[in-house]
Amino acid sequence: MFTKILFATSGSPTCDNAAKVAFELADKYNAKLLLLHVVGSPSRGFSPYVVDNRTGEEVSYDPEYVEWVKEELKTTYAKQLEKARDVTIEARAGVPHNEIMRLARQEDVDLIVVGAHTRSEDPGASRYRAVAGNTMQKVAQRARCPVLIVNRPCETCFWYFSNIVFGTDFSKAADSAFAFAYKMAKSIGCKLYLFHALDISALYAGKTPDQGSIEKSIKEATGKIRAIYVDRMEDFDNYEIVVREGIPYVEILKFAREKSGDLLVMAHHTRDIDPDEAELGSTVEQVVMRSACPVASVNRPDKVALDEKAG
Amino acid sequence: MSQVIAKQSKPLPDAGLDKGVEGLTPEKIAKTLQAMLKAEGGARLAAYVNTCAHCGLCAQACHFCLSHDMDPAYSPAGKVKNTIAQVVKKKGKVDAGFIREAARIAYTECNLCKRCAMYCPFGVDVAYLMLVMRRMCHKLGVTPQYIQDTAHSHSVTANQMWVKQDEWVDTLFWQEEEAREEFEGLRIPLEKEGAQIMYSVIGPEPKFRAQLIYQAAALFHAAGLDWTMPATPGWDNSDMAMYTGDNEIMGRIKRAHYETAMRLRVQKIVMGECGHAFRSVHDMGNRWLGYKSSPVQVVHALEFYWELLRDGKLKLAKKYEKPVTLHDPCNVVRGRGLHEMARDVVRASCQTFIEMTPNREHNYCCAAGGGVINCGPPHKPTRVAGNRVKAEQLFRAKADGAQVVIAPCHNCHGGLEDIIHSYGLNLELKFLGDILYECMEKP
Repeated sequence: MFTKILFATSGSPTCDNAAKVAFELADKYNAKLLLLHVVGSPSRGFSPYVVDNRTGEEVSYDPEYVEWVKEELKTTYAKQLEKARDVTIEARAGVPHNEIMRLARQEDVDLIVVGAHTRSEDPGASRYRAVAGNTMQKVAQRARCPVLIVNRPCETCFWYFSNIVFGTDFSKAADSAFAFAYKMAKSIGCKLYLFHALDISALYAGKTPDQGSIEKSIKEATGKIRAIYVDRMEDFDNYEIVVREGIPYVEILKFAREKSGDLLVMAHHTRDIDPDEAELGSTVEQVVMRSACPVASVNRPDKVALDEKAG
Repeated sequence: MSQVIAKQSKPLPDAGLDKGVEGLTPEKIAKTLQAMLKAEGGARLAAYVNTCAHCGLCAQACHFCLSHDMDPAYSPAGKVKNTIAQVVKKKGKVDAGFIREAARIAYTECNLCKRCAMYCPFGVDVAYLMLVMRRMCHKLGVTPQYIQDTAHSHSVTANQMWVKQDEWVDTLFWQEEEAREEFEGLRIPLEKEGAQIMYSVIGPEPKFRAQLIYQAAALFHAAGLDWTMPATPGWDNSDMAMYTGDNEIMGRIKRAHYETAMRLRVQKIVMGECGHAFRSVHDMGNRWLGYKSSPVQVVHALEFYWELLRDGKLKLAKKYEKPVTLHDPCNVVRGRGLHEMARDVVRASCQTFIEMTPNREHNYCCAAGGGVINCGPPHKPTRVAGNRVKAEQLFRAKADGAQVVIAPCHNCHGGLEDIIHSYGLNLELKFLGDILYECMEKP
């Protein structure tokens, strides 16, 4: 399922939950783990100093400093590294999301794991949110492979997952998200929920839809899920189709909580909203910030396409 | 408006300046400066220095002076008097302390924006004088650390950011890949000999703002143009050596740039939204190399956009909704007169355009240009405190309804960003290309 996993980390405790998942996944799938820390953003023009992304302090960016940062990372992840088989630690300067995308592309990774910040009482939270929150969104939007965003402790090991929730809006990108959700469910052997939320806020702007038309739409959506996804699952039958009405991201979160979802898989539209402009408006961030379980954002078929035989 | 940062009472520490003056002796200084005066201090220098009547008209023109309540030490004439005029008067016999101070003034308290030159009744070009002072400091090895590092990068890699060759090419491939998802069949043609246009950018674009290359590629694609980008050194049109006073490196990297265009046999170079690079390619680098004008036609992004719209090659699907104002960058407005073209493009692509005042060739500088922002964090307080007048100007534009500032220049972006944040103006900043990309008809 995964041969190369990129774990992008700020090296701070906010990424601990993501680290746990990244190392576990690499272990389970015998994958190579690339651990990337973007040490800082240089000011305009080249300079030997960079502003450390974590502390906001100005540091001297030279090979010595990079080595030091790598040593620090080794200490931070000492426990995980003890058991890990194939880990490369990479530290470099730049704009975090650019560097993550650059490395993911160069190394052709199958999965990117990132952390996300939720609690404002964490030290350096606002700075972290400004750098990492944006990074997470931009990476989720642009990556060619699935991006797994982990923000709360994920107590269950990945392969003990019992419920995966796939949220769809029937877009092309959602096809890729489905492929990933299905593959995961099949590989883990757990239940897959095929979920759709009828967006009544957008559909019926200004007027209240009557129950009849809502039920009709729900029926249509159920049929659509059956037609688009169920046929592609061949003999896999551990699934359930659920359609609700409301505001999509709220409904999917409610549903995931209700079913004790272990993983939420969805597509995040590639260029709909510029993360710089969306304060809290974008679905990616809304879902990630509130989700109790890890969220996988899958937008492109490159790394997840179901080939004929895999089915 | 937030509190203005207080004037620095003592010179800010700068490794390059502090270390640089340590080894200077009066003999060494005199020898170097006298040689410099003899070789490069011709009639132009003498005429400018001797003609100044200290009438003070330039003081009203300088954003530093205006921002410091007309403190004469910040007036262009005052800055000249405290730097190059002394060197000329004393025939190079100045001490290390003087050089340290002159370097600080010439590198960090003048943006070479030439607004003052426009108001001078004699046409004294203060930017030229400050550049001569900088060149003298460069010859003495007294340059601010940050910008000197950048000059080193130019020297070694022919680009500003130590971008390795494979990194450069790979970034273009990467952006092409991303863009192809949005635009079917889009290419970023590399090394296409005989293409009509060579597109060149500044070093920070592949490094940090790869999205801008994406957007440019989208425009070229939509307009159906025959273009290319070089895969060899010479792709970077930026030039910080020009601002350290290292004309030799300036010449070298400009030659590499022109020769790359000639090797690709293109008809013209189109360059991104960068002001200083335009000055370098179109005004200073070429002259240093002995060209009266640039050996290959150079078209700045503003003019390029304007032509695309004039010829109907770029069609807009909508107009940008938020009210915008436009910042006129010195190098393409006072330096090239592209202000009306910029306005045509803004009016064509934005619903509401609000002029900031003063504007066009009278616009106040961003205080980042002339290499000042490239002198790095040690000197940020100087340029932020030294540009209160810009904050006030932007504030007035905001009061008139503007929400977005369009600044078609990288340095201006950097400078205005700091002004906006430091003075709490809460305005959005955009390149004109950002707007066009957002509003264009996407094929």
